[in-house]
Amino acid sequence: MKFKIFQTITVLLGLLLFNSNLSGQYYFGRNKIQYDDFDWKILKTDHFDVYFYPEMGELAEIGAAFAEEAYRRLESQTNHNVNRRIPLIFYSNHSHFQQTNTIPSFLPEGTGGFFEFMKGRVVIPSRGSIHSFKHVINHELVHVFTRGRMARILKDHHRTTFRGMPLWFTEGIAEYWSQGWNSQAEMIIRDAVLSGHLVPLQDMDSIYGTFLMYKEGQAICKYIAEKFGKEKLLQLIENLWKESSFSDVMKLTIGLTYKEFDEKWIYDLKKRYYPELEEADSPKMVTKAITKDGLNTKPAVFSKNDKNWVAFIANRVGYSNIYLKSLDDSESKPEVLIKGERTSDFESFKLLNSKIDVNDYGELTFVSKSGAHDVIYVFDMQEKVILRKFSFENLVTLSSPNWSPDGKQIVFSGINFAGVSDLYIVDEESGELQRLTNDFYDDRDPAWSPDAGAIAFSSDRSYFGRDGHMNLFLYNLQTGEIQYLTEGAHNDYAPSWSHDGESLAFTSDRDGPFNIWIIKNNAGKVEPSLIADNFADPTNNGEAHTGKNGLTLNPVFENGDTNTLYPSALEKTDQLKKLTNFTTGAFDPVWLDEDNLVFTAFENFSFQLRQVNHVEDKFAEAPSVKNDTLLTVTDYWTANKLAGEVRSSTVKYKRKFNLDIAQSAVSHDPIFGVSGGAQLAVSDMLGNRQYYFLIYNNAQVRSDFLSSWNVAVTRVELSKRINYAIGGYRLKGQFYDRVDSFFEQKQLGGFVAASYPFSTFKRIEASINLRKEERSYAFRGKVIDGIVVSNSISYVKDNSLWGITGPIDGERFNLTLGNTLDIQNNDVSFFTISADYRHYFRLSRRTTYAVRLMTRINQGKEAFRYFMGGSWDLRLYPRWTIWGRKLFLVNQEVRVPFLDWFVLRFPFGGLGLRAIQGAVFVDLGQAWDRDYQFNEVLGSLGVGWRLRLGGFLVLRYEIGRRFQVTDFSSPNINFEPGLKKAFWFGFDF
Amino acid sequence: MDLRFKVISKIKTFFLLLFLVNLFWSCRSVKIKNIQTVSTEENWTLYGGDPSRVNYRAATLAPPLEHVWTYKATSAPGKTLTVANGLIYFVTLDGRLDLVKIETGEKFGRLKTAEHFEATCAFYQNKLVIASRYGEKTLAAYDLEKGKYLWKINAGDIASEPLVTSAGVFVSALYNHIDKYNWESGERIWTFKSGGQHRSSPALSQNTLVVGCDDGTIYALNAEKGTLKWKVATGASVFATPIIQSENIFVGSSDSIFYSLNLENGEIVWEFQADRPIYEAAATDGEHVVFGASDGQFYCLDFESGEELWSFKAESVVSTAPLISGDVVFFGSLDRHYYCLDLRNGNKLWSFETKGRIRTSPVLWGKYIIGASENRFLYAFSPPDSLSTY
Repeated sequence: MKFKIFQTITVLLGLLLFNSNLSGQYYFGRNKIQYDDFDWKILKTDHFDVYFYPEMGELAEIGAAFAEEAYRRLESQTNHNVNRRIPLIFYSNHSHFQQTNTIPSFLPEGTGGFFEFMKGRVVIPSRGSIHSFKHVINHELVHVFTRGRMARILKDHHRTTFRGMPLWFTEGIAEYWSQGWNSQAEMIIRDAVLSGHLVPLQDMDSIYGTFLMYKEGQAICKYIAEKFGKEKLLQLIENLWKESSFSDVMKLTIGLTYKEFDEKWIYDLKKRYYPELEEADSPKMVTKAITKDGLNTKPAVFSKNDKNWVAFIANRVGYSNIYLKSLDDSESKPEVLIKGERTSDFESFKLLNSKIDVNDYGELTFVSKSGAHDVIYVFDMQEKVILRKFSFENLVTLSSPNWSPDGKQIVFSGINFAGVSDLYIVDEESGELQRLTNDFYDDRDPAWSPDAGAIAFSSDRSYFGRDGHMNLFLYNLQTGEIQYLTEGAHNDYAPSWSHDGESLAFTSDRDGPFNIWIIKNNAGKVEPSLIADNFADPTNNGEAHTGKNGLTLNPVFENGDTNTLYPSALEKTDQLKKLTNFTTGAFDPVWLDEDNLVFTAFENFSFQLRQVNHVEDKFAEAPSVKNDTLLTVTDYWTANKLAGEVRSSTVKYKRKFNLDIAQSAVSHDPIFGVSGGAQLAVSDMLGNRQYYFLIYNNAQVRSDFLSSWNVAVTRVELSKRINYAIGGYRLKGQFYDRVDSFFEQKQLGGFVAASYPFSTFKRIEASINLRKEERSYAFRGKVIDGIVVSNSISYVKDNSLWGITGPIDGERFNLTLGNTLDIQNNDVSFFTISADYRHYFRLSRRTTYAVRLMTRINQGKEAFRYFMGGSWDLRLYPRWTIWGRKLFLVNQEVRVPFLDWFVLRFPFGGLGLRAIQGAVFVDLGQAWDRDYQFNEVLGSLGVGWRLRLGGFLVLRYEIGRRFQVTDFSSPNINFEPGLKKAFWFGFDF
Repeated sequence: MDLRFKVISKIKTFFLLLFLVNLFWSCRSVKIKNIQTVSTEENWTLYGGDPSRVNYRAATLAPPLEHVWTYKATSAPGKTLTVANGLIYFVTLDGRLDLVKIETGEKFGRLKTAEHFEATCAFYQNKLVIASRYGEKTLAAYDLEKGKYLWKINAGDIASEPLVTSAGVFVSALYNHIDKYNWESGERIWTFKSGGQHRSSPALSQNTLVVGCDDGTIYALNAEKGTLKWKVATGASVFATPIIQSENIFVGSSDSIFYSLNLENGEIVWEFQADRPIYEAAATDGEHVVFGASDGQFYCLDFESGEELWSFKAESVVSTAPLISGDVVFFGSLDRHYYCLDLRNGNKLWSFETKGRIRTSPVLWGKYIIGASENRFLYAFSPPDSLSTY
C-alpha cells in the first residue's frame, strides 16, 4: 500500500509521537517514566530563569549563584553576552534528571547535564557534590556563550551554511573553560599516550561523542591556550566565518592545520609523559591480572571454604552485571552472579559510582536503580537469592553500601530529595534507618572499621573542599564526632580497612597520578586525634573546639612563631606511605589479607581488576611521607547563595508554549500530483505538554482547493506516569492499494491514546479512534460511509541492547489486539491480532543470533491487508508483493562483525568507512486470506551487509536465494534458480 | 502541465532578473560630485577622531537628546563610523560600505566588494582608505570624487583601524607586522615585524607610532623610519587601541590593568588595576581619562595620577571606546544601551536602549551623536535645539 508523505506523518503524529521516548524501530522502545510529580517553581535572577522544585530550594539558590557568577566571567571572557533569559532546569539527583521531558531520548548514567538548542535550555542534575554541580553549570554555560557567539558571527557575515564547530572543540573548550585541568584529565591523556591509543586530531571523528574525545578536546584547548595564547580559543570561534573547514580555521588562527598541529601536540605529549616510565610503572606490568576484558570495577573480596573470591561490577558484554571470580585460579572466567539492565529490579548497578561489599556470611550488598528510587539489596552468594532489600522514601540515590563487622548493619551514602549527600546506617534486621551526617557536604565511600568503632569516609568538608577536593575523615560511632584523617589540596577516596584494623588503604592523587596509599599505625589501630598537647590558642584558651558542622578542630598557628607546632592529622606513630607507583590510575583498593590488595586499575582506557602482592614488604620499602598538616581553620566553607547585586524572585511555574520546530514541504508524485503544507510543534519549557500541528493541501484542480485541506492537531501530555495524547484530524486524499487499486478516503475524527509504563522495560498502551469515514475504490465504488471506531490495546516489552546497526542482546515483544467497527452502517467490522516477538541470543561479545517470530491477523469485513516482502521482513522478495489478511514471519539471522575499518587513502585525501556488519540469514513467511490461499511457505536464505552512515541511516545489501517449502507432511524445498540481490536501508530487526 | 510550465517559466525569469539587478547593483560605484568641505575640525575622519585616537571633542553635546533617525543596513556595523562633510561612512561585516546623509539618515550610496570588512574606513582628502579583515586586496583607497579605486593591495589581513595622515597610511596587520604605505599610490614605505598578531590600532603623535599586540607587548616605532623606539610587555594581550595625549600614552590590557606610559621611553607612569580585562580604547580631555572594562565598569581616572575619580556600572561589557564631548562622555555597552555620563561626577545623564548589542563607538559630528547596534541599525541623536552648552 502506498501512502502519501503527509498521511504517514499524521499517523505518526497522532499515535506514535505521543510516546516521544520511542527508540529503535516501529513500536518498541523503553519507557521514560515520570515517577514524581514535581511542583515546579521558577527562581528569576538577572540573567536566568531557574526551574526547580521546593525540596531542593537551597540547592537551587546555590546553583543560581554559580550561574550568575559564571555568566559574569564568561561575558568578560568572550566579550559577548546572551540577549535572552537563559532557562536553567535543575534536578536534585540523577534519577529525577532521567525523568526529564526536555529531550525525548534516554539519559544514561554518564550524562552530567546538557544544553539543548530548540529552546536554549540548560538541564542539570546535582550528584550530591556542590563542586561538581558548579562545574557542570559552568560547562553548559560555556556552550551557551560559545554557541551564541558563533551564531552571531556567522549571521553577521552571512554564513548560513557553515556546519558548525566540531564536537571535540565545543566539548573541549567547555571542559577547559569550566574546570581548567585536573587529575582525571591528566590520567586519561597520560594513559592514552603511554598506551598508544591517543587519537590524533585528524582522526577525531573516530571517537566522536566518547569520553576520550571530551578529554582530548580539553587537552587540545589547554595546549592551544598555553602555546599560542589563551585568546586564541575565542579567536577560533571568531574566525569561523572565514573558512569552510575547522582545520582551515585553525590554520588561520594558530598557523597550523590539523596534521601540523598533531605533529607538535603529540610530540609535546610524548616528551612529557614518556620519561615517567622511568620512575613509574604500568599496572599490568607489575601486578597480577584478575580480569582482562571489558570494564570491571568496585571489587569486593571474601573467602569461602579456604578459597578466595572477588565479586565486582562489570560491563563485559554491553549490559552491566555483577560477577564472581576465583582469585586462586587466574584462568577461571568471571561468572555472572546477577544480571543487570534487563529487569526492573536491576536497572543499573552504577558501574563507576557505587561500591559493593561482602560480609563474613557470604552475603553481598549492592545498590541498584529500581523504579523511582535506588534500592540496597542483600544477596546470598551461596543460594543465589535476594534475601532482603531496602529503599527509603526520601532517599533517591544510594551508593557504596558497606557491612558492619558483625554483618548486621549497612552503612551507605544517600542523596535525598533536596540533593544532599550524607551517610546513613540501616539495620539489616529491622530496616531502621539512622542518619550519621546532616549537611550539604558530599560524603562518600564509607568503610566500617574492624573494631566497629568508627567509619572512615571521603568528603569535601575540609577547607579544600570548596574547590572540590575530597579528604578522608573518621566518624566516631560512640561520640558522633567527625575527625580528620587527611587534609590537603588533593583527592583521597575509597578508604579500606585491613582486617586487623592497623592499616587503612585509599586512593589518592596527592602527588600526581591516582595511586594506592596506606596509613599504618605500628602501635595499634589507626586512631587519629586532633586533641593534641602543647598548643596555645588565644581565641579559645588553648582548647580544641567543635565547629558548627560537628568538626572537632585543633587550634593551630601559621608560620612565624618558632614555638608553635604543626600537628599531623595523624598521631606521630602513624605512617603514611605510597604503596603503588603507577603511570595511570589505581582505585578502590580492598584487602584480601594483610599482604595482598585487590584494586581497579585504569589502563588503556579500560578498567581491570588487579592484585598487589607483598604489601607488607612494599610498604616497608616505601619512603615515608610527611603526614598532612592542618592549616588554620577559622570556619567551615559554605556555598554562596544569591546575594549582593543579583536580583531574584520566585514564582510558580506556569506553562508557556513556544516553538520547537516548524517546517514546510512541497512534494510531488508522478501519480498523485503535488502536495504542499507545513507542520509545527510547540511545547512548554519542561517539555511536559506538547502540541503538534499539521496542515497541507493536495488539491490538483482549483475546484478541489477548499475541500482538499488536511489538518491534524495533537496534544501530548507527558508530565505524569500515564502519558496520553488526544487529537483531531480532517484528512482527505487519494491512495493506492496493490490489490484494490486506487481509492479515495476522507476521514474526520479524533483519537485518544494512553500509555502506562510498568517499568522501564514494559508498558501497556491503548487507543480509541473515532471518525467519520468515506472510502471509495476506483473499481469497487463506495464501500465505507459511516462512523468508524478503532480500538486497540498493546503490551510492549523491550530490554534490547543495541549495537551499531540493530539490537544484539535482550528481547522485544509487542502484542496488540484491536477492533474496528462501523457503528453507523456496519460497513466495517474486523478484529486485529498482532504479535511480534524478537530475541537476541548473544553468542559472543560481537556476534548475535537474532530471531523474530511474527504473526498478524485481520479478520472481518473490510479488514485491511498486510503486505510483506523486502529487506524489512521477508528478504529477497520484492517489496510488498506478498499480501493477505493473515501473515506469519520467521526471521533468523546470525549477526557478525564484517569489517571494523575500511579506509581508502589517496594522495589527495581519503575515504573511511567504519564498522560494516555482516549477517547470515534464513527467513520463512507467508501471507494469506480467503482470496489468496497458500500452499507453500516462502523462504529465503543468504548473506547481508549493513553500513551505518551518520546517526540514522543504515544501508543494507543482501544476496542469496529464494526457496519455497511445499508438502508440509514431508517438506519439499524448491530453490529458485539464480541469486537474488537487494539493496535498501533500515536498522536490523 | 501547461500551467505548471508557465509558473516555472515565470519563476525562472524572476530569478534571472533578480540576479541581473543584484549584479548591476553590486558593481555600482559611488561618486560624490562637488564635495562640500564643511569643517575639517568637525569631521570624524578615523577611529578615535584623530591620529592620536583620543576620542575627544571640546564642544559639549549634552542631553537631553532626541533620537532623530534610524537607518537599517544589511549587516552588523564595524567598530566605528567615519563622518565627513555631512556624510556618514558606515562599514558592515558583510562587505558593504554605506554612505548615509547625517541630516536625514537617508542612504546616499553603497559600495560592495568581495572582501569582508571588520574595520572601518578612514577619510582623507575626499578619499576613503578601507581596510579588510580577510581577502586578497585588504587595503584600498577609493576616490570619492572620481568614483573609483585608486589602488588596491594585498596588505595581509587587517583587523584594526587604518590611520591616515599626510605622512601616509599606517596599518597594524593581523599577522605580525606593522606597515606604512603611501596614501596616494599604496606603495609600501616600510614594514616592521612584531611578535604577534594585532587587533589594536596604531595611534600617532610626535612621530611616534604606538600600537598594542596580541602577545601583550606595546610597541612604539619611529613613524618615519619604521624602527623600534621601545616596547613594553604587559601581562596579557593588548587588544585595545592606545591613545596619546601630550607625552602620555594610555592603554588597557586584557590583564585587567590600565597603563599610562611615557611616550618617549615607554616608562610606566602609573597603572590602574581593574577587575576584568580591558578590550576597548580610552578617551581623554587632558584632565580625565575614561575607559570601560569587560565587567561593565566604566572608570574615570585622573590624567596625572591615575587615581580613580569615579566609576559607573553598566549592565554588561563596555564594548566601545568612549567619546568625550566637553563635559560629558558617551559610550556603548553589550547591554544594548548608549550612555551619557557627566564627566565631572559620573552621574548618568541619558541613555538609549537599542535593539541589539552595541559594539560601535559613538562619534560626534556637528550637533549629532551617531551610533550603531549589532542588529544592523544606525542611530542619530541630537539635542532638540542646536548645539547647547552644558
